Amino acid sequence: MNWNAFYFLPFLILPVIIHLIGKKPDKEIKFPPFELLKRIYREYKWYLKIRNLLLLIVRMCILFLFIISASKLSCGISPEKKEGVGIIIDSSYSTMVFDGNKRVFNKEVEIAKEILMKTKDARVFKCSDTLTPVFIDDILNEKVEPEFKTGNAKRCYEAISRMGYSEIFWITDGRKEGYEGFLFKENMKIIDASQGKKFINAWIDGVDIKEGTVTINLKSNGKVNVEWEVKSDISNFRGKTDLTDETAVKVPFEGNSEWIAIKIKGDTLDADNYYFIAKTKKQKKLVGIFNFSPSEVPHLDEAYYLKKVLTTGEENFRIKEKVPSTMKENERDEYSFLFILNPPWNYYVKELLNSALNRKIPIFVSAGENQGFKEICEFLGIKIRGIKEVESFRKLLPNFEVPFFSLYGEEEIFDEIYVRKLYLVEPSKEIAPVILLSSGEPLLFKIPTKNAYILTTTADLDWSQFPIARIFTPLIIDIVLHSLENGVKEIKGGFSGRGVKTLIKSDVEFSTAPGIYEKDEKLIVANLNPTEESFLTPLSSAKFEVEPSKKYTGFQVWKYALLFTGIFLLLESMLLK
Amino acid sequence: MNEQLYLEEEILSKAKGLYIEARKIKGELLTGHHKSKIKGKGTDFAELREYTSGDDIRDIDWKFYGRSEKLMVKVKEDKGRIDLLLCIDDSYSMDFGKNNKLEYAIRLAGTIGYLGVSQADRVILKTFSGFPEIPPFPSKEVFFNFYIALAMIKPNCSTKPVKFLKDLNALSKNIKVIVFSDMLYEEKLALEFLSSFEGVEFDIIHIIADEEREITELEQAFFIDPESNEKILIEPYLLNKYYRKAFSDWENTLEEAVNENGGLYIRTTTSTPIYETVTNYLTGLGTKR
Repeated sequence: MNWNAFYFLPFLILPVIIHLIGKKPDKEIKFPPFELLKRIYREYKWYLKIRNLLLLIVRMCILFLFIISASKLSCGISPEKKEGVGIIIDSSYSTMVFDGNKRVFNKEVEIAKEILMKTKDARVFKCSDTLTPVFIDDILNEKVEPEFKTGNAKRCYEAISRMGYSEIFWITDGRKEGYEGFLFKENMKIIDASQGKKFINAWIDGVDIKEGTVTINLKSNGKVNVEWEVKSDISNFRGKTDLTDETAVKVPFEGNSEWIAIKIKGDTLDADNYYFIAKTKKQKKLVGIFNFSPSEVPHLDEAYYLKKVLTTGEENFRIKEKVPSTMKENERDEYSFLFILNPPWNYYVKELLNSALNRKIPIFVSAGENQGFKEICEFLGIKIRGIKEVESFRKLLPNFEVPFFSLYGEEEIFDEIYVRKLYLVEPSKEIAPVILLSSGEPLLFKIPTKNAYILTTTADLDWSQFPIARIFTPLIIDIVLHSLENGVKEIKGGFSGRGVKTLIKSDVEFSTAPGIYEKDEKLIVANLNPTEESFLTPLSSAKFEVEPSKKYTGFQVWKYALLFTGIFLLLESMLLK
Repeated sequence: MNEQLYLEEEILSKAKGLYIEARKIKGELLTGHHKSKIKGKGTDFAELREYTSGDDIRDIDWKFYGRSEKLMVKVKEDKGRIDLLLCIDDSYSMDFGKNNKLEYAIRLAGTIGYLGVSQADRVILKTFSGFPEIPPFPSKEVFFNFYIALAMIKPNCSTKPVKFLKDLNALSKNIKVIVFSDMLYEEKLALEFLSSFEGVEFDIIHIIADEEREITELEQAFFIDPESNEKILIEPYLLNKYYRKAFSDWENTLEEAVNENGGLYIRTTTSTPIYETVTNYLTGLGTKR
């Protein structure tokens, strides 16, 4: 149903106006058989009036029917049942888990194909991006891979449910954290591709470094034997441990190590088993983090203003230059454009960016694959090279130590997790690279920002789910490390200890609006959704069976309207003859 | 101005051997091409009448002049002459067409007038407006004036055929009237006009411009009556659908009315060559298209 078509209804008045005003010709013809014309006019004027009236009615009908056709209007018995079946494949990171020798994700795809074969007019989406379900054109032929992003059942469902499908199949890995407590409508069928199996998973919950020892806090959701490896620039330790719930592993640690990388393996989900931290102070880095990702943020607005601040001579902005924003009015005025409207901040941002570029210092842009980011890259003359698949990186980079961005003058060490989570952007000429994080990564931390320059942050509870959140946390820590002049004092990732799903520390202050915040306490978190429901509510009436249904589209009025448009056009041409 | 303007060799060669025929008084003439009791240049004296410009001075009765000092002409019984009255419609409606209708009528009248004089008829030229006033042309000798008169005819009146006929009725009934007109009057007026020819031999040469028969400009426009300047806005749709038939009906009505009143109806269009129209007229076929 395309309601926009009805905006054209006022155009129905056009034929009436034309009919009433009429067209007065400029041309005059002297014509001797004038009496004949008068006679014809006298005899046929009523006929002409009736014909013109009929033409008017027919033309209005044509317009009206055309609008109905364009609106795709359907009248069904049930207004909820509109058209087709929507299939959502959970392509989130957790579907990488192996069930036997096959990933759960591959099983999901097989189920989706099965439904497709039995159902007409079904469309398949993957929910890798919680903000926008991604339509898969041809799942039967297209190679679909899970992505290293979280999936969010609720948002994905909300988006797809608005598309008017009569039934929606949600094919997931049975990990209910993403949708527990959410009341789906009856047309939602949840299919557990892992058939109720629970996969034991382990992860690194935190790392405590003290002189001579590094303590690795491991957690799991069941009993599992994991291998661990702690590697630094000067040492390497390996071992195995049985893990139930929480276990701490202590490893000797050389105090003069530059960095330390930790890896565990042996559980079903391999992707969240990495941790990296650089202990020693790096050279001062200026890091700009810009928030382009949450849906409430107007990406283009930010792109627009960033261009402004980067343009020499335009340091200040007037409020009337604001581009249309998707944000609520009060939030926009109070928070979001604070730096836009504040000349010192403008100067600051500009100087920072220029300085970063001149000194070839990395600029971290916390942004998704969105227009705003692309525009910035274009503006900075940076070529986006694209996303690299995790698997290919693993082949290329089997070790922890990965030289990365050697343009900086000293070799940077990144864990492969970082690598695969990053978009690699290729600098054009000698301009420093920009690193794009995936959209909506959580950025939860509490730090003394003595000399750091954190311009804005992104944090979103929806994204802070297990297991993907911990992948980002080290990266954020790393960012902070680079931001500090005097090294790390206290760094705590965004895990509160309240299970795997509640990731916000109780003392973290957050705002409902993205933007720049300068607080005395130096707590910087933004863009949380305060209306988030509790994840702990039990799942309601979800069904776990494949039940393809017939397509039901209702009485498709628009098709008949299209037919009658043609008939009326024919009628009009006959009247004009 | 000379007669070559109105006479074409081709016409004259094709008209050779053809004569303007007086239908009603046929059989009563003694000599010449017509059998008529009308008075003219015969041999037997019939009566005297007042001298008018153009009369042959040899016909003046000098004896009567000596007695009364009045110039009178001896009218003798004509052995084959008729008075040929050529009536040209010089109304504004005739001034129309790529091939102008009035121009066509003048050329046609010039040719027929020449033929009339050639067969020793007396030719009288009249316009509906009465302007210019033109004397009769009794002989070839003064026929040059006839062409001067033709050249002076311009569109200068609205169609008033009945008024014209009133003047016509004052003339002798022993004449043959040939009307050159587009006959674009109101129907009532046209029928009244035709019925007024009672007792007079008349031929109607109906001249139609091609643009009148087939309207080519079918875009919406104001149509203007050239005589009254009245305007009408008529949709091309109506013209396209009804005009041709209306015109055809009008032509048929006219023809029937002419026939009923004992006249000869000849229809021609301005694209028809003059010689063809003349030939058709003289052979009595008409140009019925």
